[in-house]
Amino acid sequence: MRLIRNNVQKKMSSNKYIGLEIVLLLLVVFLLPVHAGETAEKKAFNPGEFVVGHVTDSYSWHITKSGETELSIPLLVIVKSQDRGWFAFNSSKLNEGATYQGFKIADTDPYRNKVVEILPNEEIVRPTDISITKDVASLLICATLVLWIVLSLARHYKKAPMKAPGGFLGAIEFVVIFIQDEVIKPCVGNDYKRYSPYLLTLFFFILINNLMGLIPVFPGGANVSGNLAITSVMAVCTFLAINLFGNKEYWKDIFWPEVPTWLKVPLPIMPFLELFGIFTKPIALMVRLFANMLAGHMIAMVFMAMIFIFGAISPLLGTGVSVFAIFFAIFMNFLELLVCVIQAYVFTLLSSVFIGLSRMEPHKKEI
Amino acid sequence: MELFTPESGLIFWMLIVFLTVLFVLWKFAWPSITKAIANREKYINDSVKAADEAFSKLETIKEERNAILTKAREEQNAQFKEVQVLKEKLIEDAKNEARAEADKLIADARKSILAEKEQALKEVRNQVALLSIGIAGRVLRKNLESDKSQMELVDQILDEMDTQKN
Repeated sequence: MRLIRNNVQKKMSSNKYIGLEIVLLLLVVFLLPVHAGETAEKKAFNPGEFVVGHVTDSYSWHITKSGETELSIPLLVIVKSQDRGWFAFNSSKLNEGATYQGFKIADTDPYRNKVVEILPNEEIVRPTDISITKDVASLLICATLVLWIVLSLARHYKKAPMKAPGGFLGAIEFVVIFIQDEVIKPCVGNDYKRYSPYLLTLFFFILINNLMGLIPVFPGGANVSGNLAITSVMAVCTFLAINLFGNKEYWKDIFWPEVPTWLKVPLPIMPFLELFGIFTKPIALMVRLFANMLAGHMIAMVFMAMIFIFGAISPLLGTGVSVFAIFFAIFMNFLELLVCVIQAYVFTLLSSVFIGLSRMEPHKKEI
Repeated sequence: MELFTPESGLIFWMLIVFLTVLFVLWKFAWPSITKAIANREKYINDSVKAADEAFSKLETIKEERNAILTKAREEQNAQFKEVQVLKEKLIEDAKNEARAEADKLIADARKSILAEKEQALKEVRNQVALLSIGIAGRVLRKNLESDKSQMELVDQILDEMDTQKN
């Protein structure tokens, strides 16, 4: 704590001890993403933009800003123009609002911060856009990580079938056994083996994406699992897993549930609710993960924004607030660590429960 | 708001990435992992069971061994006693036999001594007779002309002596 406070004080007051400052700054940069420091003094600090900018997708992977130069990793823009076919180019070509081959990043609504095409008649349209954005890049990194972790566990068993893996793989094995035995087996029921590959993949995919989001610098930091596009795909997969393989009992419970007949016959109230439930279940999954992860990223940014808001009022106030802001941001990061695991667990657990409901045994006749 | 509108490009990539990961892991990782874990679980359970069985078997073996040992010791004792008895009996028998043999030998010796004594006596008698005849002959050469009458006289005398003696 003292180290961080010293660092912040020095950063705020002067640039005398540059060498020392860089070392301390690195510490903070690795702990929390506080790289908007310089901007605050030059132009009016906009906390809304600051926070939302960090949790939304972008065409390049921003790392930090040193002086006037932005330090970011350029990514690949892949767009399909309405008439001119496919284009693929480096996102650095569009930096600072530049136009390249008729494409630019819009700075006004409705396509703010997205690549748009300027047609010859000055009309602005949105092209088909499958760019490797920050989120896609992070997604690819996380997917590689998941593949690497799980495949190395599989390789371990191929090499030493009867030997328990140690170290990191041992921890992964523990998680696999936990998810399989405590979540999938009891929730899905008899034919859990059919679904366990999907559910295990789901868990590790979400977990790794969540955890990578906690790392504030390059290979992490992207708000992937706090993005509706990501969670919706997983929710749709769960939706398909539930409904494609639902048995007779499941469909009977939807269209002819065991409730008093007047709830079903003239007006199908219960069937309607049950039918509605088919869609609310995956939507709840989608929104839960999205909202939790988004909130986690936002709250860390809000604490950071506080430093600059108060710093703009008076440097002394900013310094004072930074102590608390960083303390709370660290605290929240620990909390987020918990949330990352819990959300991955909850998504898998509820998917298992819903799948289990679609595969349930016929009701036992009550005596 | 941008936050709440899912981007189609991201959905596209997510579909590709997620389904690829799902496919690869489904195909190459999860079955072998879950199988290996189940196999190992079974192996451990079996081993624990086998160890338990071996342990209980070892206990029974120990008991059996103890029983065998006790029995052997008893047998040994019994045999020892038997041998002791046998030994005493043997010694006794040997002693008896030796005594009997010695007695027999003594008896034989006595008998042969007796026989030899008899013989010797006979011879002595004969010698004495002859000597006496010789002596008497010389004495009585003139008195007794015939040998026959001489011998009769001597025998008569000797018989008298025998009867006297007896």
